[in-house]
Amino acid sequence: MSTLNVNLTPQEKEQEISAILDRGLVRPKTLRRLFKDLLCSLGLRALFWDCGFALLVATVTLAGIVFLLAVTPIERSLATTFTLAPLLFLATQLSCETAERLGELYELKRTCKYTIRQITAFRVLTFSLVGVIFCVGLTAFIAESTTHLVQLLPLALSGLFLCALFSLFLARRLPHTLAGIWAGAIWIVITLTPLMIAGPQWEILLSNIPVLLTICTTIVSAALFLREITKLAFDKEDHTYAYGQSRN
Amino acid sequence: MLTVNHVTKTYGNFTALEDITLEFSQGLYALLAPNGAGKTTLIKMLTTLIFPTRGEILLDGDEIIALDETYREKIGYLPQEFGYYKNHSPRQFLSYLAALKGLDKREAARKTDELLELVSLADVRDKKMRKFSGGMIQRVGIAQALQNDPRILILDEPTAGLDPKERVRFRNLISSLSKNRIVIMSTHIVSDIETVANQVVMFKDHKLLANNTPAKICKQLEGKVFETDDITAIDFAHMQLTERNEDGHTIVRFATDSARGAEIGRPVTPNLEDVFLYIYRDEAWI
Repeated sequence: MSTLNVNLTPQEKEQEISAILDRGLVRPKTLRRLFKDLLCSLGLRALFWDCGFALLVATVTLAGIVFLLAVTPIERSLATTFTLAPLLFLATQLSCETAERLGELYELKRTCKYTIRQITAFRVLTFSLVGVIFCVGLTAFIAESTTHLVQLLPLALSGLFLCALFSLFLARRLPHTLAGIWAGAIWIVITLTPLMIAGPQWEILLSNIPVLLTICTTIVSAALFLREITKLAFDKEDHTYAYGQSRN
Repeated sequence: MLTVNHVTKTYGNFTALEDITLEFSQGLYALLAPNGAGKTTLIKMLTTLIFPTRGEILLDGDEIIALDETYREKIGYLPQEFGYYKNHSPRQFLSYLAALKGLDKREAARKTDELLELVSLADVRDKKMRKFSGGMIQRVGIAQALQNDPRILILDEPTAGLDPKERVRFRNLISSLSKNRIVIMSTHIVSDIETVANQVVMFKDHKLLANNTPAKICKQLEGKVFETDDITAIDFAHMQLTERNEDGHTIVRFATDSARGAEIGRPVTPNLEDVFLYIYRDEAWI
């Protein structure tokens, strides 16, 4: 049996053991733990500091949506729901982010223990939950029957999470600070174009999508969206252009 | 110890910093170079705002990017353009930043009062910052950088916009803070660091030019700096450094490699400003 030729004093041994324990027993940080830490340390007020402008934009967006609903023919309810579902999320998230990035404290906030990127991840998740509540309200308002609601709600949620995923995906990868805004614009173009061009056919196409498929789409896109949020909160190097750090 | 190990930073085809190797231990390190030389790039890498294209930055042997929040907890940073909320009092503002830094609320409140006292803002701790002078805002900036009692204090052009009195006060404060931590301060104002810096780091053409004590850096020009009141008498290659008026005469300070410098002028001890002008104003040779 071989022995290590290392002579350590008891004090050095203690230090080595402490160092090993320090490195070895650190619990890996999960998104849940991070958000719990953020809530406990910062509190909601600090987490949503500088979000006043976003609230104003959200209110205006809501008013706009209510107006659109009032003038939209009810026979195009599926197409309308699919397009409108992520709008509140997009408006709130993008206005909040834009205000934050243009703020004079942005650079300093990126050097604190809890970075603006982690706070952004928390906000994105919160805004998406608000988006879910909005979708429930929107579909409840539009639906004419329970069957109609069962068809509308998964479609609205799939629209919300697909757009949210797309928005975050672009924001993290495009070398442009306001990349998320592109996502919103692209979403509106993608969903409004068939409605404008095909009209009733687009509505028929959406009505023919099986509910199970829209539920699956919602689950998958929500899972991928959560993965993007996790990356946003924890990524140290790559794909973080819009949130301040890059290798190039 | 904070180690910058063969760090290069490029933006496309442009090299902002090339192969920089530095070591920082306790004391005040002044990054001295003209604007655009790469000081802020290095500062941003030290604060993890940007990452090196090549090379690594280590704190006690661990890469700072990998250390992540453990590293950020150890740094205090005052950016070049320090933003603040005009409608907040220093106390409110510092409380918010203390939260972002993950400080315990009670401890943060105690520390805020202590720091406002240190930067002589205790009297206005509850006044809105809207009417504060540039110097007062800068002192709020220093206070926030010290909130977490950082092991590494990083200051990017901290004296810009300060009046001479505030500049002296600031210098003294930084000097006392550097006694038990690493203070890295970038500046292009020589007088800010001449008397307080333990080490001066100079860049030229985006590369490290010098990293030494002010005295040793000044020694480079020993025997080459002179003063004269008749600059027209100089008929050899020289570089005019500074001018001052004395008893109605204009005394010109110049640097030259020529042995005839002493014939025309009186030899003087070179200072850091001479070195700065000598190094960064090559085109001024006539």
